Amino acid sequence: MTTIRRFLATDLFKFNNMNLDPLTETYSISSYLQYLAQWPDYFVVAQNSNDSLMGYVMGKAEGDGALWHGHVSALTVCPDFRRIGLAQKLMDILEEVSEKIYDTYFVDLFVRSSNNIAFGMYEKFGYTIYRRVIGYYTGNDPEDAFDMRKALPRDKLKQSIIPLKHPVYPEDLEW
Amino acid sequence: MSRLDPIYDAIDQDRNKFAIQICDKAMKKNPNAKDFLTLKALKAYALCRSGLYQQSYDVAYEVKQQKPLDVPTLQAVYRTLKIIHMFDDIIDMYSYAFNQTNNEEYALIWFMTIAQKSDWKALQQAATKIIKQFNNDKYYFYSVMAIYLQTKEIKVDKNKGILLMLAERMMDKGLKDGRTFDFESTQLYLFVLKDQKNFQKALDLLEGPLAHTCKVEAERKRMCMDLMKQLNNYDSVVDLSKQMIMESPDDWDLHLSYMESLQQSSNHVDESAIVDFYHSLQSTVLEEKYVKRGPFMAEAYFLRQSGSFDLLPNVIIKYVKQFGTTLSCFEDLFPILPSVPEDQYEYLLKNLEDLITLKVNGSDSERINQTRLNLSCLKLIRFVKYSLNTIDSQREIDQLLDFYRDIQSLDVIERERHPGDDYLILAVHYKLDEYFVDRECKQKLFDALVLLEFAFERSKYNYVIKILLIRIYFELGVSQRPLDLTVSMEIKQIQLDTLSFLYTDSLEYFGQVRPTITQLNRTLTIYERNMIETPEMILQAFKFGSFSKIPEFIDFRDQLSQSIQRAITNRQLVRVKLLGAMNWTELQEMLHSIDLEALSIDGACPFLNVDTLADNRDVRIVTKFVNTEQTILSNIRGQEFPKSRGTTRTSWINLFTYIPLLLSNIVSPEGSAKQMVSTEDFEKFIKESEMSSLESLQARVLELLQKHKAGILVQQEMSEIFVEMKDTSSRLQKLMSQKRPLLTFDFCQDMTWLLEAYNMACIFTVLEKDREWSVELTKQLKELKKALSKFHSSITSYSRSSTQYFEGNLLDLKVGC
Repeated sequence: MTTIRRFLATDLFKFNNMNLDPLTETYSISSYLQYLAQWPDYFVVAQNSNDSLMGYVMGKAEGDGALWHGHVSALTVCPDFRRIGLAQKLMDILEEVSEKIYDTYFVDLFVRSSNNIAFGMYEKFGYTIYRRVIGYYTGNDPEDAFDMRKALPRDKLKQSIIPLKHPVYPEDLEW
Repeated sequence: MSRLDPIYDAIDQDRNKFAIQICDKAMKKNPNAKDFLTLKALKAYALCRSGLYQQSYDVAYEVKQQKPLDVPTLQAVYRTLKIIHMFDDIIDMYSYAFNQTNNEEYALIWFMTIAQKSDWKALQQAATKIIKQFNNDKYYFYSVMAIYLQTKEIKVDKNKGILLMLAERMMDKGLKDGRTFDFESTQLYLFVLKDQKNFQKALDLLEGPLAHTCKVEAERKRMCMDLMKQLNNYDSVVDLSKQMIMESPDDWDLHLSYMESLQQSSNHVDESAIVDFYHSLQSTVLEEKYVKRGPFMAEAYFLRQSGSFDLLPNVIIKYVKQFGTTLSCFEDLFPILPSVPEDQYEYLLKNLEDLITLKVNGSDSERINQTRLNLSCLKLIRFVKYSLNTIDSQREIDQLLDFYRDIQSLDVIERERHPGDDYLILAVHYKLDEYFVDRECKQKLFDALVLLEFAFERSKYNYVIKILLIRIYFELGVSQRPLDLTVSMEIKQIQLDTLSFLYTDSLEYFGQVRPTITQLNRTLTIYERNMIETPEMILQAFKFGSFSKIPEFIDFRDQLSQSIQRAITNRQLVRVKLLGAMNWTELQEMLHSIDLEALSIDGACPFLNVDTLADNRDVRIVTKFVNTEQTILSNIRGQEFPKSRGTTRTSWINLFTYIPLLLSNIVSPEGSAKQMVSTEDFEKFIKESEMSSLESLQARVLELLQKHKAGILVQQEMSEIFVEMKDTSSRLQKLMSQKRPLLTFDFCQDMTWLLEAYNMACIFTVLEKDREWSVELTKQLKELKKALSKFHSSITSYSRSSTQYFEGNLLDLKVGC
C-alpha cells in the first residue's frame, strides 16, 4: 500500500532507510533542491502505509528538437521494499511525466555496463541499449556506461532508439 | 581580442595574482581609460578569489560608489560582493543601474538579491516596480509570491488577512486578464485561498478554469479531494476516492481518504458491503504479477476503524500468508497489532507458528522466500509474546541460532544483506531484553556484541547491524571500533543532521579530544552548507517559477538551521575544547575563540527556547519489534536515546550555554562579559534542573567561582565539594583497580563529570589571592590530578584490550556455529 507523491524538501530528513543502502549515493542539499526547483514534477517518492519512505525517482527533461527527452537521474528502492514492483511503478510515473507534462520523444538513462541486475531490470521495463559510452564513470571505479532508451508516443517512428553502430566517448554526448 | 580577455583568462585559471598585476599595470598606465572602472572591478574580483576579502570589498565598494552602468563592471562587482555576502551593496548598485537603464537583466539581479536576503516586503516593492516596466506573467506572479511570503512571517491575523486579500485580488485579476497559469502558479493561487480558508473557491478553480494546468488527472482529483474534506463534503469524497481506488487499488492515500470519509459521512455505512468491496479488490489484484498490498491492509484498517477487533487476527494471518515473503511484512502490520484483543493472541500465535518451517529446502530463491516468511512470523510472534510477557529469551535465542545455521551457507549478492541477518538481529533483541532487566550483568551486552560481529562478518552492508554494534560498543566504553564502523556507513551531507547522533552523542566522554573535535566539526558542516546552498536554491525556485517550492525550501532551511542536533553539537564542541584546555592560557584562548553566537539561535538573547528546536534525528532507523515507547537503542543505554527535549536534554543544552558565557566573564582579561548572566539565575537553574549530583558538580563549582568573583566567601562550600570529588575519585579508582575492569559508558561519564569539576576548581588557584587558601586548594587538586591522570591511559588501553576480548568470544561462537 503505497502513496506515490511529489518529493518534498523535508523528505531529505526521512530518506535514510533508502540512502544508507550502499548502492545509493547521498548528494549535497543543492543537488536535490536543484532538481526540485527545476523539475518538481519529476521528483517522485513512494511512501508506505506506516509513513516510511520506500523509494524515489529523480528525473529531468533536456535536449533540443528531436533530442528533447526525459532522463532518469536516480532511481532507488529501499531494500525492505524490493521485489514488489515499485521500481516499475516509479519508472511508469517518470515516463508519464515525460509524455504528458514535458512532451518528450524518449526517456534515457545511464547504467554501468557491469551492472547486470540494473540492466536486466530496465530491459524488462522496455529499455534498449542505444549506445555504449566509454569511460563514462570515473573516480575509484571507472567503467563504461550503457545509454539505454525507451521511445515515447511522440516518437512515432521510434527513431530515437535505433542503436548506434559504434561506442562514443563522454565528450561526444550531446548534453 | 580585448585587453580585458587576459584578465578573465587568468581569473578562470585561478592565476589571481597575475590578474591583479595586469589590472594594476593597466590602471596605472591610463587612469582615464574608458574601461578603468572595469579594470578596478576585475581587480576586486581577483582579490576576492585570492581570499583577500577585506581588500576586495574595499576596492569593490569604491567601484560601486562610482555608480557603474555597464555589464562587465557590474558583473565583476556583483560576483565579488556575492561571494562575501554583501547583498545590500548589490541591491543598491543594481537598483540604481535598473533605474537608469531599464535593463531587464539588471532588474532580475536586483530582484533575486533581495530574495536572497528574504526581505519579502522589499521584494514585493521591487516586483511592483519591475511589472510597471516589464508587464509579463513571471513578474506578476513574483509579486504575488512576495506578498504571500510576507504572510508566513506575520503573527497578527488582521495584517495577514489584508495581505492575503491583496494576493487573492491580484490572482483573480491575473486570471481575468488572461495571464497564463501553469501548475505552479495555480499552486500559488491555492496557497492564498487555503490560507484564507476559502476552500470552495479553490475547488471551483481546480474543477473549472484552472483544471487544465494539472496535466496528470489523478493529481488534480487528489487535490480536489483534499479540498472537499476541508469543506466537510465527505459524501463526495467517498464516491471520488472509491472510484479512484478501483483504478489504483494500491494507493494508500486513497484508502485513507476513503476510510476517513466513511467515518465522517452522514450516510449510513454498511460495513459488510465495504468489506465485500475490499474482497473484490483483493480478487482483482491477486491476478497481477505483483500482488498489491493495499486492499488487504485496507481491510485491516477498516475493521479497526469500525471496532471489529475480533476479526483482525484472521485478516493479519491472511496478510502474512500472502505477503509474508516480503521484507516489509512486519512493519506493514505493526500499526495494526496493538488493536488485536488480548484474548486473540494465542490464536494468532498458533497460526503464525504453523507457518514457520525450520529446515528450508529447495532452490536458493525458495529457501530465501521461506526464510523471509519465517522471519515475518518470528517478528510478529515476538510482538505478541512480549505483550503477553511470556518470552523465554534463551529458548528464543537458541531457536533463532538454529534457523540461522540452516540458512547461513546461502551466498549473498554483492552489497546486499544476507537473508538470515534478521535471525541474529532478533536474537540480539532478546538478549537485550535480558540486559534491560538486569543492567549489572554486562555479559548480556557482550553476548549481543558477539552475535552482531558474527552477523557483520557475513553481511558487511547491513546498516542495522552496524548501528547496533556502534551503540553497544559505546555502552561498553569502547570508542574506536564504533568510529571505524561509521566510516563504512558513509554518513554524509544531510545525514550528518539526522544520523550523526548515533556516533557523536556523548562522544566527549571517551577522552579522545582531537578525534571528537574532528567528528563534531564534520557534523557542523551541514549547517554551514545549508546557509549557503538553500538560499541559492530558493532563488532557483524563483527563476524556474516553482512557486510551490519556495515556502517548502524556506521551511526546510529553517528546520535544518534550528535542528536540536546542531544545538547539541555546538555545545559538545565547547565542552570537549574545555576538557582539552591544559592550562590557564589555553583556557583563555579557547574561550576567546568560541563562537558564542553559535550557541544561541537569537543573538539578542543568549538562551535557546529549546521547545522551538526541530528534532530531525532519525530514531526510526532501527525497527523495534515490540509495543513500547522505548526503542532498542534506548534499551541499550538504559534511558531514552537520543534524549528528546523536555527531558534532561533541555537542562544539558542550557547548562552548556551557561558555562562558556559565565566562564568567559570570569577569565576574560578585561573583565568585561560578552553576555551577562546573574548569579541568582544560574543558582536557580541548577536547583531546578534534573541533573544528578555528580553531573551538577561542575556547575556548582562554577557557581562558587561566580560568587567568589563577586567577593562572597566560598571556602566552606568548596571544601564540601572537594569531599564529593574525592569520594567519586575513590569509587572510580576502585573500579579501575579490579582484575578485569569494565570501564563502561557510565564509568566514562562519571569520570568526565569529575574531570570537568576538577578543571573548574583549578580556576580558583589562579583567581584566589588569599595565599593560605590557595596553598590548600593546590594541595587538594594535586591529589585529584594524580588519580585523574590514570583514567585517560586506562580508557585507551581498555579500549584496545576489549577488542581482543571480544574477538576471543567471537571465535567461540564461530566454532559453535
